Amino acid sequence: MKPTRGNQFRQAAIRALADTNLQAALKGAWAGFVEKRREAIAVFPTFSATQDQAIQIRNHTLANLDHYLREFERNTVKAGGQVHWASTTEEANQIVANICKRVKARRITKGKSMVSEEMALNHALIQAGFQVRETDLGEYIIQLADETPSHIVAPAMHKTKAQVEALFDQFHQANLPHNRSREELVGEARSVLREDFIGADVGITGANFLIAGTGSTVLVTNEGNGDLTATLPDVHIITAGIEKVIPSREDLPAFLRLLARSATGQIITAYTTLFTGPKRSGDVDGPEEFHVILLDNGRSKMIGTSFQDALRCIRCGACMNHCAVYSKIGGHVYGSVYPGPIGQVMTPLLSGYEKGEEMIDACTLNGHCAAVCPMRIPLPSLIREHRIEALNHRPGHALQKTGLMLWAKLASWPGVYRPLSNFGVLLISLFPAGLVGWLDRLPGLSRWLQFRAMPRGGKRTFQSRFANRNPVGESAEK
Amino acid sequence: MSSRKQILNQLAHRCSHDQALQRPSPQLPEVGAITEWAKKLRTVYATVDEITGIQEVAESISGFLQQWQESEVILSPDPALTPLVALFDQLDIRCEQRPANTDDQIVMTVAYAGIIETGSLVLLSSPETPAGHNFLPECAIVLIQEGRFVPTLESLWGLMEAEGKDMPRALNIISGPSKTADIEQTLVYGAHGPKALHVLLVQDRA
Repeated sequence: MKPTRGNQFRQAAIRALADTNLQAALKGAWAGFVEKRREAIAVFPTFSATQDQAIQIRNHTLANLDHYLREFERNTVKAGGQVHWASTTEEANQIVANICKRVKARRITKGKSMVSEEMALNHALIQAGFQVRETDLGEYIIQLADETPSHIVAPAMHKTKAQVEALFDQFHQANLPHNRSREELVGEARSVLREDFIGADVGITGANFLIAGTGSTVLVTNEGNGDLTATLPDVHIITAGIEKVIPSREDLPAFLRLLARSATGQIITAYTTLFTGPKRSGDVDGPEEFHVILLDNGRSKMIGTSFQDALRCIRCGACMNHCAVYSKIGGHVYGSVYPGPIGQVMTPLLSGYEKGEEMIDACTLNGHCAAVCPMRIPLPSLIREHRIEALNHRPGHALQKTGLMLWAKLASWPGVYRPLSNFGVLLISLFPAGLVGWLDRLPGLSRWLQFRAMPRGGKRTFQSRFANRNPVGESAEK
Repeated sequence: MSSRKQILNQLAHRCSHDQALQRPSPQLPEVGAITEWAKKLRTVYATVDEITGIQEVAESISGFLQQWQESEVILSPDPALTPLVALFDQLDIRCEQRPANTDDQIVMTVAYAGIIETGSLVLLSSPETPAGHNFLPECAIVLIQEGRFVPTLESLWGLMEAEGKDMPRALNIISGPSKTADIEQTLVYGAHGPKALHVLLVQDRA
């Protein structure tokens, strides 16, 4: 899906707000993700210290990324695997397609991989004449619906049970009774996909981490589909961003302690697997070929800039789960592989500023995302940097730029700003309610005021109330 | 220029290379006893039977088979399980010791270790312990000896080093049966991996 620009984002957001199914799903997700994460961290007193540890490891690794990527390559090859480097997503797709062509793949299964979504890999493989089956239940659902993921951990979280059942009815053609339970639907997907697992020639997964010291890739799942995708076919292909590498298996536990808790409130997922190379002699299962595709796609350019911190991301999804905007509009409105706060930071860097300009405006800078980010990425600051950069790129809008410049000058003059805002507040408090309603309908302001109301109440500005507060922080007057 | 060269050049130029390799000491959480491990597994609907003798192994398996209305258990080619074949035969529990195929419903394996911190079993792939056994069957039965527990994931690495175990093709850390919350954020067990995980915790002889 192309990142939405300008009016498109706005229109998509308005539709999303009116979509009752989506709103119900988002409400449920809030309870699911936010509460569970909070509970899990509350009973884990060393969470903050673990964050310190993981951040230190990640910062060190990023400062020496070339060294660790070389080490990862060396050890992967030593274990019998192959490493491919791709500067662009087109290149990465080509590499995967070439492998599939060479082994004459007929059936390809996929475990969930956000990098493969970034590559639009499925589309490229279908274009090259291959059939691809997503096996992660959420990814399978959206594959049937011909949609993109709306969340990086729960791709089909925007779908209701009824919508899933309808999709299954349409595609499975099994004539099953209506109003099946969630258990029945999961069981249905299990039997349908089992054939795909067993018959696949090529399995493609992502990797949560790459371990340089052992040439291993780490896969964190709950369903077990990733492992079936990796173990049963003759060829295992792993798609991963270059920032995924960590120095040694000694470093892995810190990240695991943060990941599951931040993502789903679990201590650990049902399956955490370290894959090291292809089948060994005597093995009865496992792939003959083990390929790791390292994707750059703009990540190396982030090193050495203030955006380097964003490469610490472990893709837990906590930022979007807690985002005031995401939790109201869902992931599709962003029109990018990565939605929510991390998406707002990564998308201009991976896809350019022309795409998704409006996305970076869809942020209130409240900072909740940064507060819950296990890797302490300063997301709001980075979004603000994008806004500054985008303003320089934006053609026209001279009126907006001038207006902002004037306001900025005014706001840096407390001597003028304060009496002016005091006057403004007084003026508004004197308006009868009807007149304020008239203001809401002023031409030119209608877009601005569609979702905002003129402020009411109180005869004093925040600044004056704050200045007059009691030592304990209470306001001296109401 | 190859992409590999391009990427590495870009990084060589941009990486600060300024931090010395100083591994921060691991922030290890406080970890309890094996009972805590068993509790964690039971919380995610795995079943754990404490076993003091080989007879109890048979009882546990027999009970499990009845519960799932199955009549046969496949034992992985692990030599540790070989003594069970004769025992099961005696007790009329249908079993075979061989690599499992995709039709086998109930498969039994042996864990390399257990991690108390996370309520996990650790299984290393090998010709006798194929990784597929942990994911293909409807129900997985795993036997673990009491003496094979380590407190944290870090200590697992220490154990492997001490025992001269290199990284296997697949190192599986398994912490419960398969599950998914992809439909309306509601947890359902038995996605693609085993629906049930039954653990036999074999206590060391006094």
